[in-house]
Amino acid sequence: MKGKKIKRALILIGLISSLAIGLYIVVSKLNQSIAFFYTPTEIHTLKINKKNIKIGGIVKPGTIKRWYDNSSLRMTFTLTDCNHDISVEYQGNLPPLFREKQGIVALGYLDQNNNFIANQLLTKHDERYVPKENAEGYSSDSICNTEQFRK
Amino acid sequence: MTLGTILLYLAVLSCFANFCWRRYVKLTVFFQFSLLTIALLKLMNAYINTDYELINVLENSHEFVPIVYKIAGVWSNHEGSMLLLVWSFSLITLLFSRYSKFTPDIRAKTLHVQSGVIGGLVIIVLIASNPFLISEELFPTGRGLNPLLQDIGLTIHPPILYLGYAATSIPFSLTLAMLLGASSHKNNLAKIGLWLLAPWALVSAGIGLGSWWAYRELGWGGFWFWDPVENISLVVWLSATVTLHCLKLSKDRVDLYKWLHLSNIATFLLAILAVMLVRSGVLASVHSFAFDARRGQLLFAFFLILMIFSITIFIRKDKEINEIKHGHNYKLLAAILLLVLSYISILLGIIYPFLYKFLFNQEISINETFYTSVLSVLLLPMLYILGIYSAGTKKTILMNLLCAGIIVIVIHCFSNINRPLNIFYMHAAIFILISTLSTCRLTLGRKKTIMFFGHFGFALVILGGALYYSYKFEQTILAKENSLESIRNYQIILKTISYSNTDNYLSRIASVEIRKNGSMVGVLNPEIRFYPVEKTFTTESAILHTYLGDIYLTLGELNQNAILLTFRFEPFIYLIWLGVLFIVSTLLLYMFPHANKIKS
Repeated sequence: MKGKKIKRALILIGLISSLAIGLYIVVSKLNQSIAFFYTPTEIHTLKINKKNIKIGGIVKPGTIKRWYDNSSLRMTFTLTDCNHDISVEYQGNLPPLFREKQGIVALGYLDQNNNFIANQLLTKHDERYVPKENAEGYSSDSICNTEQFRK
Repeated sequence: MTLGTILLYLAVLSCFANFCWRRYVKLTVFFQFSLLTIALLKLMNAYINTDYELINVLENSHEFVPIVYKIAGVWSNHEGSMLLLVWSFSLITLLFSRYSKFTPDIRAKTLHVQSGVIGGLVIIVLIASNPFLISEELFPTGRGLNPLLQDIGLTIHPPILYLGYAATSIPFSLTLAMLLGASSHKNNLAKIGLWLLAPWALVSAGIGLGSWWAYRELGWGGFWFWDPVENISLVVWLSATVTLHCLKLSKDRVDLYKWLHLSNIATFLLAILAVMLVRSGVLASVHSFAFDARRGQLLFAFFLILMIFSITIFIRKDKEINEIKHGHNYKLLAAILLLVLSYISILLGIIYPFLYKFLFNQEISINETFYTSVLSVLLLPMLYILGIYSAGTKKTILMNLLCAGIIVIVIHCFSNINRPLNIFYMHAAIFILISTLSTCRLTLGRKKTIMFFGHFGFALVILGGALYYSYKFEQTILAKENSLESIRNYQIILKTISYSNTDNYLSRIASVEIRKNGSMVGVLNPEIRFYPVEKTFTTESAILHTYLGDIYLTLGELNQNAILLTFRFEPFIYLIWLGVLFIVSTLLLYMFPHANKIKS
């Protein structure tokens, strides 16, 4: 009877400790895969040096440039929240309906010259994930529908 | 007050009546169903006639929307979809009251709990999301339906998924009824099978349809995006899977029935959580609507009440069973543990941004690397356990592992597999496929046949996913008319760009010729649509099915004389849909056992 109890306790301790270890691994992995969200203004004022960030803004009209580099399409454009601009470099496939004045979210990192190197672009309308941050950061198109964009 | 609102009030009354007149339990359930059906039909009728008196129709429909999407418009918005959800609950409850074979005591108790749940939900609908509100001003025309939702996928995906979510309530109520009731567990366990299989199969079908819709309609080409809205449905599916395996566990060892009860409760609570997260607008996506904090709070309160209620009953009414224990089924236990850990980690990934925002007031999101890396640690062992379980004897296990290894090496030689993880996934999936196939006989009993279909389908989905992620490629090009562009061994010629318009939208259509190694494969017509009423664009991808996978073209913006074209190759994606079909067919096999008998 005593042996059984000890065995049970051992199994329980084993289970709990393995669960704890598992949970620790999961949470630490979770912390590694966080992407922080910023607006271009915050990037200018906060001096961020995190690796994985998202920025949200609107593609400034007339700033999209495309060229071929080793047969792959590369591009740069300027993302704005109407207060500050940030230049974004991107290589790869564009989300459908990527265009000027489109609200987008770019996923990537900042280089030394404060250019944003994007790995992934998400657009606002066609893509299923419309980040709420995007809507809060600047109330969608309303701010940017001012004179600046009519020119 | 409109007729619709009155019907909803009557439905609440009939739910209360269910508690008061115990003799007429079945009758009141029938009343609930009829009242909610009439309410739903009333709303559908308003949509078909585009009756702008209702705010709900005004905001979500338009006279130019095709008739199919007018009907689907009913569940394209928060209010209508909540009504559909409540209706699904009452439908499942009615089916249970008519076709279940439990003792009258258990059945009555189950129906009481069901009525409580339905009553609670109808009250929530009445307070925060009544679709029958009348607009005070009269507007000449509606705001239209989100064009992304104007697709056949939307017409069937939500009702099926809702039926699945609603079906998880039956095991929950049954569990409470069994805990409160007096009959022996063994008898009940023998009759519970269908009611555990139905939610699982329906949720599988719902997720599969949603994934198919996203694949075709969003223009991204993939089938899973690790979006919180998708993830929460996967959590419910995993939990329903755990429940099915817990049934097997508690049939082998009656003293382990607690796990079944706990899993039933967990599945239903997760389903309610899923509805809350998706439908209250807390998570932003095409699934969510205008954010209204009250709806989320009400649903969350409902979730908390159900949780406290069920956990209390689970703890207080727990009965000791003193039966002889015999042997552990370690494979099953391990599989269940891994499944539970998988859904807990996915759930953590969903909830973490909320916690982070609450604690540090900083917006974050979780990258998909979290899900892929955590799941690969949990999923791979689970797959091998499943394979070992299916194979049976040591000799066949070794033989099958070897066979799967050889097949993977052949595939690898034929075309290089890019990531080692994918090799393992492929190996494990093929191992399961071989193992299940080798034990498949025509004379298998009903349960074994269902198990075969479920496991086989699951392995197909995994194999499809592994092949897909190994061999997919995509490239965007600037295409000019009649010039030839090469992507790997495909040649793409943009023939013409044309324009057309219908009542509902204007479109730009490209005609693109695809050749493989010089020989013609087909002509594809990707499209961009502009919906003037809703003022939005959508991309309509063009898909060509081949034996090796789909060729998937989407159109981008026009750039002077050139147009952006994205070419995607989606290898073996049909294996995923096929796997889901196998999984869903388990329900049909259970419901129509005669087909099995004829075969054997």
